[in-house]
Amino acid sequence: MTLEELAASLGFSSFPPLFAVALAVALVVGLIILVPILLRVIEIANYAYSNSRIQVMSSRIIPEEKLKEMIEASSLAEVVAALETTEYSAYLREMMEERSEAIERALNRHTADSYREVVMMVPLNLKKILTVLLRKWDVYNIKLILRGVYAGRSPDDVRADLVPVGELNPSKIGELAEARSLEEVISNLDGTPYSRLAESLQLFDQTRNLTVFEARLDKILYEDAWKDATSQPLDENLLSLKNYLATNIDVVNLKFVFRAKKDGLAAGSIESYLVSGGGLAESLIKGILEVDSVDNVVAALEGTKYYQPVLGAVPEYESTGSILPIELALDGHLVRVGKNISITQPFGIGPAIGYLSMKEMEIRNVRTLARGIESGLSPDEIRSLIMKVGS
Amino acid sequence: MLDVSTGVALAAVGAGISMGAAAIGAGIGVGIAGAAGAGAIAEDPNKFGTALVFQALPQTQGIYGFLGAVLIMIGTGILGGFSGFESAANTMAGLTGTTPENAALIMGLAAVGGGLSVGLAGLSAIGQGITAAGSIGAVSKEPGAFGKCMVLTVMSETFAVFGLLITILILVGLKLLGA
Repeated sequence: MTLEELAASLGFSSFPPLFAVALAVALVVGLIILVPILLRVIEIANYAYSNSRIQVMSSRIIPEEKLKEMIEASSLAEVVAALETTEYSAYLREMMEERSEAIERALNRHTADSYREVVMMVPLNLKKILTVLLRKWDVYNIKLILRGVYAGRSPDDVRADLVPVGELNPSKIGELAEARSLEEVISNLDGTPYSRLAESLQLFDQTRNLTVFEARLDKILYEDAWKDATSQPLDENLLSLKNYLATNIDVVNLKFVFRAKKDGLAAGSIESYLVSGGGLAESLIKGILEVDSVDNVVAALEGTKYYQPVLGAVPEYESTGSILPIELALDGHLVRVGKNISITQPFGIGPAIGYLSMKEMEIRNVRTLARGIESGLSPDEIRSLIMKVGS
Repeated sequence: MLDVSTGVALAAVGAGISMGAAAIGAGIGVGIAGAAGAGAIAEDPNKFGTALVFQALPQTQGIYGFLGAVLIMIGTGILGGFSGFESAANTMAGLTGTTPENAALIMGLAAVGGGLSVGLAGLSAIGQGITAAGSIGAVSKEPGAFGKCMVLTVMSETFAVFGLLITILILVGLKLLGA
């Protein structure tokens, strides 16, 4: 059969019209296949610039080997010298004196700048998600102000320690730092999600313990973030945020429970402080609350992803009697989750979550190290306080 | 009734698809890798070399598309206009024992097939661009990963090479080239 005969048998006058129809059908089918692929490609292209930039920023995070060298430093001057070769050098140059506080302030200023940069460079949909994560710094600032006011520090002194990168306006944070009483701080929080702190005032008056406010702030922070992450249809980015937040909430709750069990507190007095949501089943949390020792909490965690990291820290807990190794193991696991998200989702929120969690670990470690050296702790003692990326 | 002009038009469509589709792929691939490169350079201008190497990889599909289009145009003789095509069709008719009109149609359809092969295979540059973008980020973070990332990025190239190879085989097989 010739092409002309084929065209005639299909009702076409000649081959060219048949070819044109075949080409049009192929084009339509091709478009149906290509359009979703192209949309995905456009989405990926949106992240190419920002995520590559964030990867370069992540490469500047102080490596473990350098941190080990810094731990061996015999004075703060040596720590500052080691930090001179990092991206903190420009901030350290403005430092007037070699004190751990001054180093912390340099770290905070750098952190604020780099977080602002990350939020500015990411695509619009990620900005909203990152803002949820950066609320952690609002809570950090409010806690710092509450502690500062409680300890009678001057507003200037408190302001110098703030990291104004969260959702709250920097001028609002500055206004809070001016307050002269805890009540004033809380009343100035009107119009923000943290105004709910007022509900804890009565309990604080009874206990005079700032933990009442701090635990409440964590509860507000994480429960609101969890609601934000789970109240809308989950796309890949929100799923990663949900996964990261779930680990965050579990870690906050478990740290609280471990500390409470170490102090011998009863289930009733802990329950109201726990954050709802997270990845651990409610029944498991209730079961953990009922046990009477740290060892039993560890045993109750068997079968969860937290069991192995916590189990690895138990020998150190048993030899020192301090809950800190378990807390560090849980925090390290959270960083590992952030790092894993960064690896598995290179075109999306992954690198930003990875960077924020690694940066948080870095700041915390340098701060611990500087304070440790200033207080005359031995390298071994400092090493036991340093956080590592967990399993 | 067919005439030679249908064959000429099809040959032109084939050459157009070869270059056009491959250019879309290469353009998007280079664009994605370039955006990642710009991000890396914004943080560290020393990353320019790394970015350039990875950005160059998806460009090759555009070169294959160009090569495919030139081969189609040479093979079908449309570089010499209607008379060039007619002459090639007559040669083919003589070789295959068919009419010049049928030979012209076969040449035109072969050009479309060859153009689709190298052109659509050129869309692999999009995937290559995505891998290149990821690699720029990975190498920026861990310079030691350069070689491994390069291997991963080059993988997509295989399909573009296969596409060009099939185009050449179609043209050679039908004695449009090398006859």
